Amino acid sequence: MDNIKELEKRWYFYKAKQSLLSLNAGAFILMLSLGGYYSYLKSDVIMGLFNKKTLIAETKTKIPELIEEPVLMANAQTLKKDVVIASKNEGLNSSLYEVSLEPVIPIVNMESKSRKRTASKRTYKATNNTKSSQRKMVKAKASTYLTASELSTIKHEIKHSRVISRDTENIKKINLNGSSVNYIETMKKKFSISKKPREALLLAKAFYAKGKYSQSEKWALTANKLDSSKDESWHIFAKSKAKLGQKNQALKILSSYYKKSHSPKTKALIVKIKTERL
Amino acid sequence: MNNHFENIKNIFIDSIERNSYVELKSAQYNYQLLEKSLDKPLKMILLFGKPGTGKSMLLNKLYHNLKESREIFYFDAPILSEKEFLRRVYESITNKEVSRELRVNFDALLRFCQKLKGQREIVFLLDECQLYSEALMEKIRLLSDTRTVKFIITLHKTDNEDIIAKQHFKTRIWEVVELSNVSEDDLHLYIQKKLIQKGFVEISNMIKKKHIKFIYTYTQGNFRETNKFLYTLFDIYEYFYENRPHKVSNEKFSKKFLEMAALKLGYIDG
Repeated sequence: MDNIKELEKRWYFYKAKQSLLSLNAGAFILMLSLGGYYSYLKSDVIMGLFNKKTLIAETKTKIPELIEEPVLMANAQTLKKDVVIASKNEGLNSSLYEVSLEPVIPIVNMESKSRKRTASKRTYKATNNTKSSQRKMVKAKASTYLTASELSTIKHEIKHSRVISRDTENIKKINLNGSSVNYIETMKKKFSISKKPREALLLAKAFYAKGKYSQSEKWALTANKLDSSKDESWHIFAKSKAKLGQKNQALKILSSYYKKSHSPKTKALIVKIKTERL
Repeated sequence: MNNHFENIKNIFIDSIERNSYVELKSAQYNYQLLEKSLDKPLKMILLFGKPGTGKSMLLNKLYHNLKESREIFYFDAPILSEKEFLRRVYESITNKEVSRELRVNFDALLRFCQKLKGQREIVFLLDECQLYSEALMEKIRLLSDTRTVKFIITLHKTDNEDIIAKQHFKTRIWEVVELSNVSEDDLHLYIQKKLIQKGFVEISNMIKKKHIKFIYTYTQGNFRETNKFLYTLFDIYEYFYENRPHKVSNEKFSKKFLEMAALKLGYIDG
């Protein structure tokens, strides 16, 4: 009988051990689930923050679009260019941003425009921000239709923009000519290194274009000495001679070269020199 | 107050008594197989399985069922002495008692059996054959060769399996009946039948599937282990019924007592 008592004690111990084990297992599962829930919540918060940041970033980037979009939407496609030009000319004019939340179209004061048109042509080359070139930006009507006076203003504006573009082309040409000195210098350097007939011929052409005929004659002769098969070296040499007043010598040289080459260009040049149309 | 748990626990004392035999489907199949094998012209039949799978019980049942219709002899305990074994065989065949001082000559016995060929068919049921010596097993083989004597031998599956593997047994053992542990459902049936056989229907009804599952976890459907488990369990019941009867429910089977029995038998650590 004592054995059974002892056995019961053992059973109580066994049960305590078992319940402790199950308690541990329960606690472990609880911890796991809590951990999972916490990480889930945390991920939500992180995601929320991330979303907030992106929203802020999106709104920040959208602001300039909101300013420009209504302008483009309110006007016809043809106006797009003018509006862009106008906004560029205005630079960072804050007034543009103030009014551009609503559809905006450029309106030009016709009276002042006609008076200042010629002046603006000249001053535009010098500066982009002169008072005459600045346009007033006003709030457009809610409707997308334009009145007759507004349309006439726009047409005029288009013409004006074309003039501006032509002027800018002229500026570019001048700039190109202005760089010819550097060009000759660099070509001379290049020739001194390479000693190629191509560089000599380019130099002869450059000097001829500048009206320095003795120089062009000299460089044409150099090119010809290096490569006598090239038509152009003969031609520039003869043209330079003709320009320096040695017309007969030029014709002699060309006719003797024509006998060898039978080049139609040479023949044409001979005719040009003879008829004095050079 | 009569403690009926004492009687209940005694049901599960490991015995091979015929009246304690429980008819299970698996056991029934094995019994029929064994019975049919006896009608075949076989010299030896092997009944083998792990300890506690019901080999002895099956052999005992076979003996009791056939003893009236056949010349069948059952050696329930292994006879380790060769002299004693030959004396018992001779006594069984001749139905004459041999004096302890005399010794049965094996060659004479063999010739006697040969003379009986075609006249008689004597069946010997030998339990726990793994305990027999190899020399004695060889003599059993020679006796079975006479075709007068037929042997049904039981062997533990794990022990002495090499004997069966030996060539002389391979050629002579023509029928092998293998017994294994029963399933959970069969175990439930076994316990219920055992209790109902002795009139403890209420207790039988108290034992639910979950209790059987608990028992099966540790006994794996082995009859010997199950009997041991249930004996211990009802021993605990007996104690509590005597000393603390309020702890014993008449409706519910106690899980505590089941666990205590498992603890006592070392199935679980305390």
